[in-house]
Amino acid sequence: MSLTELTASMCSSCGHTTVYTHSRCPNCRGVGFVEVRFKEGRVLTYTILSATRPGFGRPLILAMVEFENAVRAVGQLDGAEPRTGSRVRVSHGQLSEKEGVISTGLKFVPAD
Amino acid sequence: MTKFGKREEGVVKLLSEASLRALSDSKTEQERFDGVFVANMGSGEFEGKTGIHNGLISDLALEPAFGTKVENTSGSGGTAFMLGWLSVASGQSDMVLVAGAEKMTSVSTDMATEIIATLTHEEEFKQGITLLSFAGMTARHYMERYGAPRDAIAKVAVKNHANGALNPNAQFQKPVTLEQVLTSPMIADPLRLYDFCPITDGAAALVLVPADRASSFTDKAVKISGVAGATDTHVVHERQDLTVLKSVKLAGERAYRMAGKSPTDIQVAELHDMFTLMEIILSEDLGFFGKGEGWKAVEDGLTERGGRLPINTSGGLKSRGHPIGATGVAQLVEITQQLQGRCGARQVRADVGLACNEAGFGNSAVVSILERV
Repeated sequence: MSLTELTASMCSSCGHTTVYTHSRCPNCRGVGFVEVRFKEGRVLTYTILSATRPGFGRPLILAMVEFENAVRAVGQLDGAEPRTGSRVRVSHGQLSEKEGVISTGLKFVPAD
Repeated sequence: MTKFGKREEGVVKLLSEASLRALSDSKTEQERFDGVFVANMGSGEFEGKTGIHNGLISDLALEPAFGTKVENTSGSGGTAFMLGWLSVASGQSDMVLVAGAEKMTSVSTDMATEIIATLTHEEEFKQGITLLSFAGMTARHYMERYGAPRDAIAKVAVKNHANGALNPNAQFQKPVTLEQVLTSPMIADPLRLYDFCPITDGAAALVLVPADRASSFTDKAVKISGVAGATDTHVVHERQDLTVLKSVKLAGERAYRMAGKSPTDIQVAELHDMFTLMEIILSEDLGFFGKGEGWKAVEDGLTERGGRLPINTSGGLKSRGHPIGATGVAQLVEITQQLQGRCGARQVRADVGLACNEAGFGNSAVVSILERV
């Protein structure tokens, strides 16, 4: 797995693509999928959370990012003032630390 | 229903309190019940309790009525109501108790937020997502897309607190000003503390009987003329349009069709305002106002008690409070009492009312239409 690419699941029958996997395609109920990858997208919307769950930093910027073909993902945005429409790229990093356990995963960072 | 707020009692006692009121109110104390549907999300998580429906049946001596707990997150109440209706409509039951409750203050606010967040997709959960964050993202998107001013959204809180101030069972019985909403602590930018419903303990209950039996108990029976549910994607970002809740739209269309009504027939509505903008989005998806225009109706006062379509006369989730499993039932209690003309200072004129109870972030929804007989 590349840490600078987001892996998504594309239906082999109809091409419908989602970042989270499904056992059946939400569009055509097909059961065959191929992996596709995304590197860069645009911020569709975001929020700055002042009230976060235990283990997550405050404030926490969560962005909904849109990639090609309207494929979307939600993730933490680091390293920039968030702005609707701004270009971000896929990265990887620490998401939370709870009772000494560090969780890592998808992050977004500014593309430029 | 019980008084909503911080309560000392556990979930079963809250259920009993609300149910006893419903039995007394409907003069069914000595009747035989066939079914008991208990709406609750997290008795296991909040209090380490399971089988609470059997606890209720035993406490109220309703044996041998068959009961079950109904869990559909924050839509549990509407869902239990739909199943209770189905049980009577199918002929399986001649008398059903629908009760909803949640005891939430048994844990810290952080813990409650964590428990509620478990209803999200596991990958979303890992990112730190809460329902508050979906609310913030949706609000920004809605405002940017439809040019809705921040003030208009905040006015939902002002309206609902004004209504809640007249509801003796509401958690918050005091009005708030627009300035108070707009200067309350930021929670999920652009939304602030007063945009969100609180954490609440409480219960609500209703008694359902076949239509031809109702008149032997009361001359103020209310008819269930439509009830339907539907589900949208579990993952919020997989929805084509973030400002549309398909679950609500579809459940609404089905309920209208079943009742032979259209949105213009509705004269009072309880909508699931888990945050201010959600009331506006629901008012659009249920066909009361055009998409992207619900905020104008709030600005114009159309949804106030004296307006064309009073919404959340009870105070809504915002001011009445949101004990998760109780909410959907409490909405129906309010619509029922509005149609019966028993709402005192917050009474509006209505013959047909609607309740929309939502699970998660519109992951699923139940829409019910009630009518004065």
